[in-house]
Amino acid sequence: MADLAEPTASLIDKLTGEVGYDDRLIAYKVLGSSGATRLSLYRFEELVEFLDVPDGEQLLIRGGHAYLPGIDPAELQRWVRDAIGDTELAAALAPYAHDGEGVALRLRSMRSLLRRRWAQVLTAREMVKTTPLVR
Amino acid sequence: MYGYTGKILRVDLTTGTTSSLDTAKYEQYGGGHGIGSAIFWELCKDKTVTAYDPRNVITVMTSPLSGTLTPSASSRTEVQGIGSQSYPIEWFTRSNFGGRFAAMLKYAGWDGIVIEGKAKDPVWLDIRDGEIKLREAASLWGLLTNETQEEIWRYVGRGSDVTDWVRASNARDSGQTTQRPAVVCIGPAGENLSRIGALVHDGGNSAGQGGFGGVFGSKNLKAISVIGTGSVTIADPKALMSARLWVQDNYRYDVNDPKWEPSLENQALLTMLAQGPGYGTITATVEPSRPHGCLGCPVSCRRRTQSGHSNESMCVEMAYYAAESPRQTLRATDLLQHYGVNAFDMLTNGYLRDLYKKGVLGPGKAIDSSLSFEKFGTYEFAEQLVRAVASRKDIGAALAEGFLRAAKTWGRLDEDLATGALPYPQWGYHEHYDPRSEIEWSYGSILGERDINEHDINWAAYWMPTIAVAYKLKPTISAEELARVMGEKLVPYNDPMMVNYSKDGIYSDAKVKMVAWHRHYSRFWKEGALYCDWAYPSFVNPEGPDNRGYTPDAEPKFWNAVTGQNLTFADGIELGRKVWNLDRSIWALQGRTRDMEVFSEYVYKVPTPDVFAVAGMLPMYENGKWEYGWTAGRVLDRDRFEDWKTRYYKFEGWDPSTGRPTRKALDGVGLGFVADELQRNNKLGTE
Repeated sequence: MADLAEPTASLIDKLTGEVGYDDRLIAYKVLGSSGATRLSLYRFEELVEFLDVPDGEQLLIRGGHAYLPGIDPAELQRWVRDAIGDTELAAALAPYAHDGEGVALRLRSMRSLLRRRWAQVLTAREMVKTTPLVR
Repeated sequence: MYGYTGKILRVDLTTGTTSSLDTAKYEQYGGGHGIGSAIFWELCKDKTVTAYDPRNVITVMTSPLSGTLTPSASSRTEVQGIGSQSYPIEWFTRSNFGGRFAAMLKYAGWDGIVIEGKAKDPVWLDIRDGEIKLREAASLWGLLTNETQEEIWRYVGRGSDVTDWVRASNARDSGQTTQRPAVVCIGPAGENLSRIGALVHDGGNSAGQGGFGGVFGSKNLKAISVIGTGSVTIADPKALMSARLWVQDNYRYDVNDPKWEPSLENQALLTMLAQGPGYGTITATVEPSRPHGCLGCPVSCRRRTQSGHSNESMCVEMAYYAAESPRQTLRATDLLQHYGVNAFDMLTNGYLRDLYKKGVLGPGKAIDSSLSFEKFGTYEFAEQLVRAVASRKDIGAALAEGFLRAAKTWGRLDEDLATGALPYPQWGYHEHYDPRSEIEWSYGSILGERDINEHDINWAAYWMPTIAVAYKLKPTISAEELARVMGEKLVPYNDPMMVNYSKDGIYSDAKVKMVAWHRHYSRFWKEGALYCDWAYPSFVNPEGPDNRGYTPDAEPKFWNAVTGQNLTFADGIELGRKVWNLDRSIWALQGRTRDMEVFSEYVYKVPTPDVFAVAGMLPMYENGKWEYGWTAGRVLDRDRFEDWKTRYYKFEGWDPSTGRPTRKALDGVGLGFVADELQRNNKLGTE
């Protein structure tokens, strides 16, 4: 899996910001009981949270909230590139964006990259809190 | 008939009097729903009254199986009457909840409750075996559903704590019980006549769809409490026990001798889908919990948690909102249960956020609101929204009418139904499964009066292959084998083509039979006998012989053991046809015509998204072979669907020009007197 360089301050701003209505990412929360519920994602963090693709471990942790994320991997990759503006992450996501292994497995791989990027953001924000001059 | 206690409680809220009906008079309708429809037909003289008219008659019915050891059928409660939720007409409709209410009602000696009229002031109904009291509810009005139930438990228990025994009455020979009363009640939403007000029982059993919370509120009925100390007389107890063991031995996961030992991941996924035993804890929560099921059910699809948050909730209410943490999401789930709000309609909350982001909704905007949408995704916002709906404050004033009617109030309805931004395919109900793909669901819904909410075919034909493809797993069975199995089990038609979801298959004559079978099965076996939707019918089961589930053997096996009848599975389908015709006749009197039975515009115009699990993998017969096929990109062809409707009406014996039952069809199911009434009202179909 590709390494990701530490995000710059301007990229962190994008990753922690909120996009407008026209740039929202359409996704569907798919649960046996309720079927597919459409929702719009406006923040990168929401995508990270949403993409909680269940596996055995996740089902044990998330319980009745476990759902399958209905989202087009290609659209997800485009959104990260164009709406969020993280071209490096988008490039890392690209191998999983199109046809290949089962879509849930591809989304799981994409989730790992997204989580890694979000962890970088959280670390950087923590550093900002303690040493403001870093920015 | 064994299984029933023989009497139905009749309550006139206007006069404050009670009486009883003989159950035997209605046994020809089978069970719960059929009897409810028959009583409504008889007692609601003007079927065109509105939901909140005191003349609306509400039935709360059990089945012969309620309170017995029939697995997954012991405690569903069927609620019927004119509901306030549907659009544009408040149809005669149904809702249903689990828990222990139906069993307790039987133990108290009652097969059901009929509610008529309207109380002058708020009341609650106190049933203790044969002692019936209407009690004033001024001190309960305004309480949340959990608070209401706790107050009633204390009252009936005379201040004792929950570890004390409860005496059902003061008579010397009356029974005593360690059980608490089973209470079904409304919260603030129902009191404020919300069309998305729910009935709530115990922690997480709700009858949300239909709008019966608001109907109870309109009748000034806050709660019904029942405690019973009797039992249900079974025709053949040994046969009942043998049948239960037959299911256990042949269809349940055997920890000592498993037939199928998948990885944890696959086991968890399948258990999630197939509701294996312990499902509630397999899909446990963020905190210690233990399994919990409705009374008598071995599946235990729910759980009770250490904190108590989201106790017994396992359905849509768990999915309507994602708060900032799993624990806060559990609390957000509780909001719906406590305020008594229909979870399914609240799924649409993301639509509100879109309107906010578009600049249409917010402080000083076209849709003025002071809710903190910048905090969307937090528990704090969920609380603001649910409280607003329940109290009719802020945008809650519009939303209490349901999201669809709110959109109409805001002038957005036509546009948002055309684009699918408001995914309500029929009758003012939120989309459940894609109406262009899983068409036994959508066709059944448009021919009925609400979202049918029946996951039976859905599990076998949609979820199992869809999950398998998504995770690169081998499907439990191939599409060809699935068609063969379903063909065996879809008695009496036994046509594998009924499960053909190809582009042509969804308009076929076989699909006419499929939808008819589904409506008839549900009206009797599921809503009449009250077999739980999450366990019946059972088509595919990896723990079963040759991957087969227990339908069509299980349904009559338990029914006959309890009732002493000799009903076949096909007899049950015919009973379902009778009840379906009776309901259809009520809708005809309410003004139903063929041209109303059309979907919202987006179903014909906007393709099914090319998104995993939104579009599904379904069995399709194309080019001479069965395969699981992808349904992305589909729209429903209006002309072909209209042609399919014509053939469906003819199959049912209904008038194809109006969709109304004909005399011949009604006579054929013993409903000649219904035909007479339709004729008197110029609503009888032409043969």
